[in-house]
Amino acid sequence: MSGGGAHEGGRTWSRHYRRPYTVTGGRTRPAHDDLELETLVQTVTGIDEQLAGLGREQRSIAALSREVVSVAEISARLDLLLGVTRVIVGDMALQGVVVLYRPQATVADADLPPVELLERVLHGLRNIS
Amino acid sequence: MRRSPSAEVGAASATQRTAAGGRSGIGRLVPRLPILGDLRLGRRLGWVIPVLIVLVTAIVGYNARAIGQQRGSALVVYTAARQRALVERYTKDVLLVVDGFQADPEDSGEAMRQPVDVLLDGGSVRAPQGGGARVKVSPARDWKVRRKLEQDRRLIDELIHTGDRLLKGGRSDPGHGADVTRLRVLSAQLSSVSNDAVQEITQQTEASLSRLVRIEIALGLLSVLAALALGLLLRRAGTEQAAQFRSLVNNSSDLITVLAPDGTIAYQSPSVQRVLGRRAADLVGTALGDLVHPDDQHDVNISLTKLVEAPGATANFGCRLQHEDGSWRHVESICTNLADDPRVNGLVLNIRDVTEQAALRKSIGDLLHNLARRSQGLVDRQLELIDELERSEVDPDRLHELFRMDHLATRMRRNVENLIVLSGVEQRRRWSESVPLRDVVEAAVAEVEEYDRVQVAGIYDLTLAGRAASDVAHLLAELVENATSFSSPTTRVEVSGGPTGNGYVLEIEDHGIGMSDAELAEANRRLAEPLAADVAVSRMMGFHVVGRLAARHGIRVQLRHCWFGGVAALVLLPAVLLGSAGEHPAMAPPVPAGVMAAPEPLLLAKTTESGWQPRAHLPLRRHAAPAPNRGGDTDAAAEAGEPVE
Repeated sequence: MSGGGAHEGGRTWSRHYRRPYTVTGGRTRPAHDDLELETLVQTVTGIDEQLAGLGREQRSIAALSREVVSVAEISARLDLLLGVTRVIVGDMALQGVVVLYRPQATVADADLPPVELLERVLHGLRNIS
Repeated sequence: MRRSPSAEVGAASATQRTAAGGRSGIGRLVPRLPILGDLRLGRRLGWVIPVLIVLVTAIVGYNARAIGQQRGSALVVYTAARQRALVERYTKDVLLVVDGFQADPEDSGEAMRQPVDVLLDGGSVRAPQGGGARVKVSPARDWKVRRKLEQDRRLIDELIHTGDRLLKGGRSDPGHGADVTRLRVLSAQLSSVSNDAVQEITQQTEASLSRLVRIEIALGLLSVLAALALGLLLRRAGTEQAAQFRSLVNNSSDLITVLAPDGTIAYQSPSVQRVLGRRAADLVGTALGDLVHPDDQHDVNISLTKLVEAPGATANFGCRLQHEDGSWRHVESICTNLADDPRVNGLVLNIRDVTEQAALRKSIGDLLHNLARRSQGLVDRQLELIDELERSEVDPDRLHELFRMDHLATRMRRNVENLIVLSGVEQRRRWSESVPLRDVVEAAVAEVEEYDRVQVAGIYDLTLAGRAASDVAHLLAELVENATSFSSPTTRVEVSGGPTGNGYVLEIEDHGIGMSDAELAEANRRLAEPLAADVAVSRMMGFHVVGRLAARHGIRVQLRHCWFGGVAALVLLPAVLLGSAGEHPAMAPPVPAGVMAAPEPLLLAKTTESGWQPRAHLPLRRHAAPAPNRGGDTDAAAEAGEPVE
């Protein structure tokens, strides 16, 4: 949803009139089952001519993912709905345009900070935004 | 929105036309006296016509009888004269034989009797013109004539008797001298009686002829009187009709105006006093344009100029005319060019005051506008809420439900905003900055029920003026909606675009069964004339919305047959609405913008790509690339958008 254009109270025409469901044709379930927020995405190199045939969002994602980025980051930076981003990235992975990395749990469960701490951090983060 | 309603209307009007034709056909069979005009007039004059017919028949009959009588009497006179000649010949023959000369009195005697018999008892005589023809003579009726003729017959008998005696006796007979004298006396008597008879007959004939002539003169006089009465009645009826017509014209609430070819008023019906508060006589000779509202003058001029060039044609237009008190009256005018009619020699305008309707329409429009504006505010808020929910939703199923709500609300917004357009109320501009054309097309797709059947391809990196963005989106949505609803659910609807000399053409193609030529022409007519009647607007809302929206921004929309079946809608966006965006200057030769909004998994899209994508934009690019600055007209632009067979 990277539309520019006219403003009204901070909302652009494109934000107002373009709807997210058209990007995926209404689909919300990713083709890849295990596509999480933290899944890392990287564009396969040397497929530039294949990129030309892709849609606007797909090309933006491919451009962004030349460096390894997470699904959550793509969603935030392209201002795409998370659900929509997951569907598109899943499709691109099936097409072989991007490769996915799942971050391995590097620490044992016992070493994880307690849930209460995490919740307080989350609360603090919410307050910041 | 495009097929069934127009077909129904067409069929209905065709039926009405047939019915009307049938009625008038029967009407023509009923005998009517054309000179009498209407029925009322015919009833009043009914008695004159039979009287005239009887009189004329009588005159003709009497004439024929007089001619017959004249001919008959001529024959009688001829026969009587012949009889006298025969008597003289017989007398001469007898005297010649008695004197010893050669003669044949027997023969003459027989011939002598015949004419008298014929005249008295009827029979036939040799025709005077000869040649062996015979003419019938009827027995004499008049008693005076009969008496003379009977006397004639007696004298002839006596003459023959005396003649016989002379012939038998010869000169030596003692009564010879007396008989000769007697013969001569009888002959002279016969001559005199015959003369009397002829005279009598002639007199009778003359009397009868003069009687006939008198009757004929009387009948002729009566005929003249009847004809005069007819004429008078006709004239009175004509005057009455003219008066009736004049009072209709004078008391009608419609204005009847005759415009001279130079645009001045040649005739003005007096009803102008009621409608515009002006005197008809004051208006004659002034220009109609002086009364027309300055904003309407251009349109009126165009309508009238077009009409002047087409004698016999009719045109409709609406405008505002100034009342004497300075206010403006809304009028509708039906205008007919009767320049060819020497009795009129100008344009006849039938002008109707529709100010009240216009006010009513405006108040309904205001009502519609207010309601739609409120709904618009609510739908906008609803969409903002859905936006927020979608943003925080990670569960695919719940997001799917949100998308469905989003879609419904988006379609609702489109309807509401169309209503605002149809209300005719000018609204404030909400968006001022330009918007990427691609976003506009995608917004349009989002507003369509079956959006997942729509494929968008090859839209340039152009921007569209913000004031037109929403209208163009709704316009495209109507056309795409039309395309999806009139094609099979398994087929695609393709939206593509390409530049032309004076703008950019968007093309919406469906793979449906297409439209007939008549339907296509009707749809294009509705697209071109969006300001038709309100009832039609509600029934065929789609095309009227498109027409209205297009007219607001100088956009041209046209439907065409596709070479593969189906229909293509071409939308020409004028260059004034467009701007360049990003790296591609406006109207530059294209770099394909690529596929957007792939409706199915891209793995599948990849395989279908080669199927539709090249065809979708190749024809457009083929036209666009070599002559990006071609200064063609809008038709040329439309041509450029049509797929090449």
